[in-house]
Amino acid sequence: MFPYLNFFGLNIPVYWLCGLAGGGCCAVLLIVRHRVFPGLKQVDITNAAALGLVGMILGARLLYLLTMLPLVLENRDYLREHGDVLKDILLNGMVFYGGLFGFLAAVLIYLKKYRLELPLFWDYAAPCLPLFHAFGRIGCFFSGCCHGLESEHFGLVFARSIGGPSDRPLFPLQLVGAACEFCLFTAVLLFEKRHRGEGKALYFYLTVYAVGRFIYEFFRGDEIRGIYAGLSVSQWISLVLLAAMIIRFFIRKRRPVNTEA
Amino acid sequence: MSDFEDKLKETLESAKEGLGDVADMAKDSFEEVVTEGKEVVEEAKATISGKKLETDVEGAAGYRADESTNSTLAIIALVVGILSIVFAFIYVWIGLVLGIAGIIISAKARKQSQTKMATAGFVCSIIGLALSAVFLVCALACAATLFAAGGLSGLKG
Repeated sequence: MFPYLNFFGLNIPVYWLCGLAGGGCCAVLLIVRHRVFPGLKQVDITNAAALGLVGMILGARLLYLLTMLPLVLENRDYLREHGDVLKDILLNGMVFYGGLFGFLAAVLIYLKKYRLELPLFWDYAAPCLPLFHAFGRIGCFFSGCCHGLESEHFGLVFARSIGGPSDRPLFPLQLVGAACEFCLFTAVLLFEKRHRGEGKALYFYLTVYAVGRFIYEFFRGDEIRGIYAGLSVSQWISLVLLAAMIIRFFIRKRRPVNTEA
Repeated sequence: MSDFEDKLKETLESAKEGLGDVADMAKDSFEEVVTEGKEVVEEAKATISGKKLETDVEGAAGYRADESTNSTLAIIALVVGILSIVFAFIYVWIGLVLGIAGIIISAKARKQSQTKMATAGFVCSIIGLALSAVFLVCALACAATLFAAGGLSGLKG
């Protein structure tokens, strides 16, 4: 579609501009929400956000490389002869789930190290996750990646796509994904408002996202992302995540409630 | 009758005298109490000031020791942050690594003491990381980037 923006001779990926816009919106959201979370210090918020960003980049790249590993091993002879293809494989690509887990892991390490209140922070930061992802999906639309199945009636031809075919109409699943993420963002905000301070907003997001992502993957048309036993890598991860959330729910439910004497 | 009146007058006079003495005594006692109270307050103030001074001295010594450690971390964070911006234009991967390292170091420095230098290192590291990420030509964040490689048809699977 529109993968690059030429700025004084420099080709800036529109995907990254969308990421920047998403980051900016998240920053505004955090500043506005700080009024209802006065217990959180500004230094902790900015530190956790920056470290989360580092974790997101590393996690997304690592998971991508892991998903590409079988393909690389299967084609090692070919890739040995075509070093540029191997270079492109290694330098390009990220997986959202890797970024999500990397972000959460980095923030968790920081919060644990400085003994900060986890439920409060998760409630504070949870709405940022779907908001940022929504902008990421818009970036995918401009780049032509993460597209949907071929569709004659509802498809678009991504003429200058750098992430998918540009010769046939494809369903703009990225826009549907972005719309769903905006809806999820609203839902997380409303849920958090109702259960403020309980630390449930993050788990609500993870549960709903896992279910949604599992269904969403059936409409994806880019098979290069990896299909194993009929399900994509993201679907497998969604199943594991959903199972973890269900187990956590039952464990928390069985915990004895503290009663006053 | 006159005797009675005289006696009554006499009694009232002495009572009046007695009350006057009592009032004077009460006044003296009150003044004494107030004076002693003031002395106690002054003494307490002196004690508190003395202890605060001791704490300030101890705190200053400890602060100086912490400050030097914090300054070292902040300086390292700033240097690494600036280098990450520089290397983002020269060799992107080094800029990326330095940006990540700068963020980690400056986060620690800011947590220990929020100095301007630590904050500057933090900001520079973030800018360096962002610039490196842009220049790395990671245009896509999905596994479908192999279309850009052009060698997809040669791959199996």
